[in-house]
Amino acid sequence: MAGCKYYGITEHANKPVSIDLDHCLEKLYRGELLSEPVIDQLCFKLKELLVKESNIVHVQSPVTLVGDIHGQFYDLLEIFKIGGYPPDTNYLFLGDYVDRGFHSVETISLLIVLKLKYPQRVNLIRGNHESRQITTNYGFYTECLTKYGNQSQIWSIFTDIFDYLILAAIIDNNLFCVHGGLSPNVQTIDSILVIDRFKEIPHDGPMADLVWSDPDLELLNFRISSRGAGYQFGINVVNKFLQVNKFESIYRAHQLCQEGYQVFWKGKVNTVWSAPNYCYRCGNKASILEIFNSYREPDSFRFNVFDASPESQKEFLKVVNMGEMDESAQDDFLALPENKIAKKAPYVEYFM
Amino acid sequence: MSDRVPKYNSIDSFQIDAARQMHRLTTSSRVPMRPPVRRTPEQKAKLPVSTDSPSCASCGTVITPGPVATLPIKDTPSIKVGEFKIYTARHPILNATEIDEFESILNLPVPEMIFGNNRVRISHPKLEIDFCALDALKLVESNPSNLIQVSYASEWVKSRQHKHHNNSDVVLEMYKPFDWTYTTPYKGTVTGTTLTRDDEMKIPLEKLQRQDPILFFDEMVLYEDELGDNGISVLSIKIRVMHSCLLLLQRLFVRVDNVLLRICDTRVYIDFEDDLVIREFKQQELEYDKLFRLCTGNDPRKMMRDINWCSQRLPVVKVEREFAKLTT
Repeated sequence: MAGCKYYGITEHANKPVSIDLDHCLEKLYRGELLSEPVIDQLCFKLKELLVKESNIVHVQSPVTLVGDIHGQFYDLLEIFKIGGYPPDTNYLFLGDYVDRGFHSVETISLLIVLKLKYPQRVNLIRGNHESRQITTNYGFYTECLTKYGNQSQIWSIFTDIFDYLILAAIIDNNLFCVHGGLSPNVQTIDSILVIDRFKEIPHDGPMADLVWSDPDLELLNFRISSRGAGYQFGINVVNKFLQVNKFESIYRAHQLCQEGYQVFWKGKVNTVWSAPNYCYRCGNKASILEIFNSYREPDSFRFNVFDASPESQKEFLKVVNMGEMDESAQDDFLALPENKIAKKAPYVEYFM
Repeated sequence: MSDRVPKYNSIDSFQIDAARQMHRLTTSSRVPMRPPVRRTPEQKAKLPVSTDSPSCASCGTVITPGPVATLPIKDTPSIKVGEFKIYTARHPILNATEIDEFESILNLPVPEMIFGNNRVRISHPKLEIDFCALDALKLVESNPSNLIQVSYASEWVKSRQHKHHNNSDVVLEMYKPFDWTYTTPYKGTVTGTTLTRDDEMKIPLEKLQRQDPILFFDEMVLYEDELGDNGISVLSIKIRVMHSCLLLLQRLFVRVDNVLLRICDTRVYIDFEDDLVIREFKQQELEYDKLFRLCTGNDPRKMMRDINWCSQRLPVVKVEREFAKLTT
C-alpha cells in the first residue's frame, strides 16, 4: 500500500520545479493551500532530508515542545504567536498533527515547509495519527479528498512522508521526548535506534508502543489495557528507564487533559497537550512547554498555557455551516436566554 | 505551577447573575432608543412559557434577564412550560482532580473526554428526570460476560505472551476487565413518580414531525472516548422544546472498527397538554462488516462515521417503552 500509489505520479518529483519556500510559507500562514505538485515536490525534498535523520534526534535547549495539534491550524498559528515564530524559537513537535480538526492539510503542509526551511530548528516526531489506517478512520483522508478532489493522490503523498518521521528526541542528553510512552520492548535508547521506522505503524512491537502507550499513576509495571491491545506503564518502568539511560524525565503528548498539561510522579513523566477546546467542544486548555535549559530548576522550563484562538471557533462555525456565530458559545457572561431561544433556534434540526 | 491556571467556576453563581443584570442594565441604558423587539405572536400558547422572569405585556421582552440558577455548579438559561422546568448546563471536560473523584466512585477509568458537569434536568412537581455522565457510567458493566475486544486483540496478546515468556524484566499486569466501549443502559435518573412499562405507548411522531417553532434547543456530550483509536463511543443529548411538547434524545453511539456498531437511543417525550411522559429505549446493533458492505463511494469510512446514516441501517434488537401520567 505504501509506495505504489505514490510512484505512479512521481513525474512531479522528477521534474525540477523550483519552489520558493518563503512564498509557500507566506501562503500557508494565510491559511491557503499549496497545489498538489508543489506538495509532492516538498515531500520529496523532505524525504531526502528525513531519511538521513536517526530514529532519535538530539536537540539542544532552549526548545519549545508542542503536543497534539489535530488539525487545529488556527490554534497552531496561536502557538507561534505565543511561543515565537520559527526560526526565532526552536520547536519540537510531539506528533498527532492530523485528524479530527478541520485543517489537517494546512497544519501538516505548514509543518513540512517549516521543517524544510529550518531543518535544525524544527523537529517533527511521529504520532499514532501519522498512519494510513488511522487517518482513513479519523478524518484526514476525507479532508484530503474534500480539499484536493476525489482523484487526488495528496493523501498518499502525505502518508508516505509520515513513514519518515522520527520516533523520539533527546534534549541536552537529559530529557526524553516521545509521542506516547514506554514499551516493554524498549529498555534502552539503543533498542529504539535499531527499529526500522520507514513503514506504516504496526499494531505490535516497540514502534507501536512508543506512539500508543500511556502512563498510569496507579501502576508499578506494564499493564495490558482492557481493549486487548496497548500498554499502560507505571512508576517502576519509568524509574528503570530513566536510570538505565541516565535521563531526568520523559515528555510526551497523546492524552487530552483539561489543564493543557499533566505532571506524573513529580515530573518524571509529563504530558503536553496543545489542542485547546479539542474537537471544538471539550473546553480544555492547551499548553506548550518552553524549556530554557535542562538543569531542572523551577525557572528552567514552563508550561505556557493558552485557550482556543477566536479564529479557531470562527472557522469551526464556518465549517459546520451555522452561518452566524452563536454568542453563547463565545461568551457565557453575555449569554442571555433570548439569545439562546431566538438565535439558536433557526439553526436547530427537528431531530426525531 | 498550577496557580498560573485560572480556576474555573471561581465566581459563585449568584455573583454571575448579579453581574449579568448589572451588565445588561448598563449596556441597555447606553443605547438611547432601542426599538421594541417584535415577536411573532404565539398562537398556540395554551400554557404559559417563561424563563422564570416576567415579560413585558406589550412587546414580550423579558424584563429581568436573570436565568434561573439551576444546579449548584452554575446558572444557565432554562425554560419553563406549564409546570415543567427544563435546565441544561454545559461545561468543559473534567480536570484531573474531578477525574480522580469520578474514578474513585466508578472504579473504572473514565472516558477520555468526560463532560462530568454537563446536565439536563426536566423537572415537574411530581417527576424529575436527570441526565448526567456519572450516573450513566455507573451502569457500565465492570465484568462483562462477553467482553468485546479490538479486531487485532487476540493476535496481539498471543505475540505478547510469546515474547515475554522468559523475560523477567517485564512484569505484565492485566487490567480488571470492564466494558471499555462504555456501553450503558442508562435512561436518565428518575425521581418521583415511577414510570409504567407499556411497549404499546408509542411516541406520537406526527406531532413531532410538525415544524412547530422550537422555543428552546440544546445539545451536549456527556462523554466520548476514541477507544484508543479503535473507533468511538459517544453519549450525547439533544433536547428541543415546543409549545405543546418536548423531545429529548440521548444517544449512545459505539463503533469498534472492524468489530461492531451499536446505537442505544433513549427518547423522552413529554406532552405538556396532557401531562404525559413517555420514555423509549431502543437498541440497534450490527457487525461492522455487514454495514461496511452497504457503504459506497471512494471514502466508505466517512459513512461509518455518520451516526444518522448508521442509525437508519442498523437493525433494532430491543425496544422498551414506559410512561407516566402526571395529572394533578
